Amino acid sequence: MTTYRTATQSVVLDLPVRESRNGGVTASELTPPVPQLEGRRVRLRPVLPEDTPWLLDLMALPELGYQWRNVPGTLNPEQFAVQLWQGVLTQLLVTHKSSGRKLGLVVAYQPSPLHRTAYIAMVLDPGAQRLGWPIEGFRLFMSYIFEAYDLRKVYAEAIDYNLAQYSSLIGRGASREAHYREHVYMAGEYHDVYVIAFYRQDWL
Amino acid sequence: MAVDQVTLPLLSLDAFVSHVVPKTIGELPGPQAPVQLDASLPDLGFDSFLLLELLGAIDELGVMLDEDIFVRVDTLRDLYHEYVEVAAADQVPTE
Repeated sequence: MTTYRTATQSVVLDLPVRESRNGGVTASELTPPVPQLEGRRVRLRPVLPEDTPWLLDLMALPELGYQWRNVPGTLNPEQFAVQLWQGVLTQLLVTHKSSGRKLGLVVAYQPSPLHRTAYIAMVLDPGAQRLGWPIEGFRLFMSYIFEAYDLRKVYAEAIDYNLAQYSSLIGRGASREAHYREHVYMAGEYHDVYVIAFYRQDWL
Repeated sequence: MAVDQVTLPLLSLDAFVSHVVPKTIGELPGPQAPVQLDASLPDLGFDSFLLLELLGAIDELGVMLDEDIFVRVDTLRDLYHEYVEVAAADQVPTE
């Protein structure tokens, strides 16, 4: 707790502080807020230009292409680096904390400043997905975007075959709010899409 | 690999289940409906988020399981055996 005294009143700020070597605390030692981008096994870091080929390989996988706003075989390598950032509010690479191995990408996109909403998505390397724990990147990222941006509500879209992925979160920080029947066409058939909503006050 | 935390005593199977289940899939059922130790984790309701919490609950016991654990095991009983094996290798004292 730090107290500042003005001419007319005493102002108390409950800010994080760092103690100096002699145990005293001065205003110049107030600690700037640092986003929590590390979990037990996962670290989120900015996307760098050298990550682009890996991301292109990832998005081009037939099993992931449909989930990532494209039809397999339609990614243009020359335009990919630009396309990767279209409509994006922020995105971070999901990496293995101890080895630095790339596991996937988390992205917040389609932000609405008026409604204070955005969408969130995560794509994981299929090998990482089988491990289970890389989903920690989703949890970290959700907390990060609520803390970094004054968003009220964040949406995630789940295709019917992927809805079970969110089942344990429903009623525990998330709710199912929309259901689009036969909404997307994939490999010869239509699939339902569900919208999962995450409210700031329920998540943080 | 041991977590760089306090080393905790090795739990029995019952104590292990009593520790991890309330932290993941919910309250323990009554004695008439014991947790199905040999049911697959998805059948018990574990999705990716709950698997993450399950690992976190085991981390709390001072044991960090291998990162491919959910590729190799699929039941709570197998998970307990892995926990015992890793804990023994790390010389966690018995309860």
